[in-house]
Amino acid sequence: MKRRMRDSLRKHPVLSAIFAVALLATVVFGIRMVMFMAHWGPPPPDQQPIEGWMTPRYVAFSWDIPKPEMFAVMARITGLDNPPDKPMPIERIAENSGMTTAAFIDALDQEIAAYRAANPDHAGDRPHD
Amino acid sequence: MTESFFALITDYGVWIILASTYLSCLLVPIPSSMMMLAGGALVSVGDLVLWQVVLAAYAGAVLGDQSGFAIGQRSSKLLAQFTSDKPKRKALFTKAQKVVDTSGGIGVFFSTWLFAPLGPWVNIAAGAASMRWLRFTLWDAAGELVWVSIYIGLGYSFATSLSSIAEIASNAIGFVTAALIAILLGRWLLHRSV
Repeated sequence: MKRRMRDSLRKHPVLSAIFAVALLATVVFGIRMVMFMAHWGPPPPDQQPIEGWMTPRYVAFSWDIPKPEMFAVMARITGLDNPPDKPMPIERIAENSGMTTAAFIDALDQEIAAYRAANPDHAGDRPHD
Repeated sequence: MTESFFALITDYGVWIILASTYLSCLLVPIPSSMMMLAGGALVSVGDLVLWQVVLAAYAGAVLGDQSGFAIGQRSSKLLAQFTSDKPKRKALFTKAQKVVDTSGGIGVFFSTWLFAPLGPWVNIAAGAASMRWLRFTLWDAAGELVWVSIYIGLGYSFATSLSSIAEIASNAIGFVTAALIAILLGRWLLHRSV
């Protein structure tokens, strides 16, 4: 069997190369999968750093901010009273109110920190449902 | 890079999800599984509507597979010309067609989700080997339902840990696909030796 395999490998160099790559990829993907799973472990913290693609609802959910409070925060930062009638990513909201995404996220971070300082029961890790 | 795709979803809604599952079934490198995860997450926070996200992802995937199948069918005519005056080639081609038609359905099913990277290729091969359209469509539609449900469901359940769940899922899919290719090629090399 060993010899047959060796002959075959010599006879079909291209397929053998693909075979070798596939074997290597299996090992690499397998290791990465296990590593990520081990790293992930118990439910991860809910608080994700705010990024431009996130919507206000997503941020509110992630940081455990009640929705009315989130609307108030957004109104304070943008200076607009009414929220837009459709979901928008933060980078678009920032653009519409003439701010850079980075400045907007900074302002949002500060508001969230202030809210959590004032409401300690919303400041801890929320158990996953 | 993936994040800018996410911003497209929140800007333009489910059409972006439809476009990405369609294009990814045609080998355009778009992280459509990430798009579905994000879609599920945005459903869970109340920005998108579940049935719209599911329908968009599903319609895009099934239409994309149909397009791949049609491309395969077109090239099958070229293949037929290529094999018509060579009896040996013709015999091989007929055999391949027979294999795809008798046992290709289950292959199509698994290539839509478990071995997702193979999906676009399998669609074209199925078309080229003249697999019956109804058979292809039924297996494909069933498989895509699994694919769409898994990713949107994961996004919905793990809304705030999108990147971790995406890493695990993409590595798991890569692992099973690479293992399948290694096993199939290994077997072929072993039996084809002399």
